[in-house]
Amino acid sequence: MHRKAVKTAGRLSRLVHWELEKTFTVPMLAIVIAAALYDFVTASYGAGSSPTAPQSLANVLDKFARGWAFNLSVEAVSSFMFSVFIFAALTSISLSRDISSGYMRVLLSYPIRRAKLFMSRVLVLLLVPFLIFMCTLMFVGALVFPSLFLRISVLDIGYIAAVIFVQMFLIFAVSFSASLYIRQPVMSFLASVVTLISLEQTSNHLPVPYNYLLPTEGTFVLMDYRFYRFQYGPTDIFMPLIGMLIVPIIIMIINFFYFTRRFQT
Amino acid sequence: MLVIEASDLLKRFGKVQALSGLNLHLNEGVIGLVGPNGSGKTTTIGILLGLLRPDRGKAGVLGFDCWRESFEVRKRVGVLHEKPVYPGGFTGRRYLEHVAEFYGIENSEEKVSSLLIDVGLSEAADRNIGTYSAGMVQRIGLAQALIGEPELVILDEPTANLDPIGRVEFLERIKKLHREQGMSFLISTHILTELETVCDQVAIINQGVVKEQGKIEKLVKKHPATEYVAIVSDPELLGGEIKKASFAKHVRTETGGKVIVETDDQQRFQDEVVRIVRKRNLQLVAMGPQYGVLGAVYRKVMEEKENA
Repeated sequence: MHRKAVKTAGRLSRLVHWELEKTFTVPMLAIVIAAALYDFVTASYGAGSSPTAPQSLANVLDKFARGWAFNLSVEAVSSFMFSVFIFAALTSISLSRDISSGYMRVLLSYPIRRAKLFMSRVLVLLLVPFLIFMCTLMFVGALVFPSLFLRISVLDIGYIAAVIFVQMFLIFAVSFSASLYIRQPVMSFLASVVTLISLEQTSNHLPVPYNYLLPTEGTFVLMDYRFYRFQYGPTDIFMPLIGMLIVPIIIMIINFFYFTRRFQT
Repeated sequence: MLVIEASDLLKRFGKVQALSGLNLHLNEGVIGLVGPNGSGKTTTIGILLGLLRPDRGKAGVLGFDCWRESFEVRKRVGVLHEKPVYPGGFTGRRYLEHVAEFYGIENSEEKVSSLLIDVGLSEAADRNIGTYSAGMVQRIGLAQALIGEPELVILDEPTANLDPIGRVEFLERIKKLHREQGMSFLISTHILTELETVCDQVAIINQGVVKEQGKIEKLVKKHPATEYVAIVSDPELLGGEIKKASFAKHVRTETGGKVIVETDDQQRFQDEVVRIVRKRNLQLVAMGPQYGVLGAVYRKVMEEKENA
């Protein structure tokens, strides 16, 4: 038996480029953008309330801008179920279909490290939709309400992004697991939706502060902390923020080890 | 030099025992992997590529452990899977350029173009793979298997979906690559007549174990054919004459001018056919083992194991 040295390109960026080109076709992009537009429209409707006393235009705009930012985060939380359907479908269709069709078998036959393939999927199916979603939201906001948009603080935008991200991360982690184990697009999508709805329902019945670990209770805490601060102390922020990240992180660590060490196709 | 080495491979999928102690020791060259449906060929290929982990036993390709060092194996091996699926939104050219990047090939445009010409896809190179016919997908599959200039190419049912001329061209290409570039091939197929035109070694698998393996000429000597066919202008006449001779155990005629003769004496069969054809002034179209050289070995191996 002989062992010759062979060089290969191992750059993650190439793999991400490949995955982006394969996954983000026009319909996929349209779905993510449509979800962002839905949040924008519903958040803009009724943002801010009529002033009870005469106020300056700047005050009115400030109040309206803050109301709009608040509404955006409320929408992000309220539309959790809506996001579940969209982002679970995106992950399930992309990953399960690749496995069930045999394309994953082709991909794993190339000299690609499984860890890099895993990372590229995470980047393409989680971070890219998140960035598209946020960019769409911000772009449309700047386009429709330019003067209002400029008055929103960067920190408010950060909170909106955090609320949206923690939700998407949990949806992604659960759908990724379902796709990896079930390997059938429709069934893994349904399993993801049922699991996420169950988690959502469970979180409503958990005692404080354990209910903060899961959306939507956790995201409500985040949002209220930022926009009202009337019932939560500074330490309360850690439980929902770190907690909501820890659950999907643990799921993804398990997925990582399964995919790189045990996954067979 | 050994390219594939597997010992005591066992693989189970639930209640199905796919491999039951498979042993393979195959040298460089063009190797055929044959066996009936469900015999374990695709599972064996999966294990060799590190896509499946054996429940027991070890497998190695080019000196690397197939599961623990699968990355090293995949750098050196090109694969065309059975019924391959490639992303429909990519053009053939774009797909090959991406695959070339995985193999560390910089500025792959020229290489991709020449490969597309080689596999007969140059005209469809800029069309989306989703619009390709099954035969064209097979051709792009061959191109992606060859692009990394592998030491070993594994082909699972490679000529499925190819038209007759495409099949011949495909087999000629394999011969040429082996002859000129020294590439080894492992070809899994049911079409034994095609295999015997390119292979120098063969492994016959059934029920998850290797029943026979080695050089074709050795296997032919070990399992000689017992049924021969001669295609002539007047099969009834030839059949009647052969029946009179003592060497044939059984003689029958079939449509298409075929005379099928069961005998253990191949040389006598050939001599008699030639003699009768000359004497009776018949036209001889073809003559040889009834199921081809490899087909005869395959049938004998399968029959022996069934009887045992």
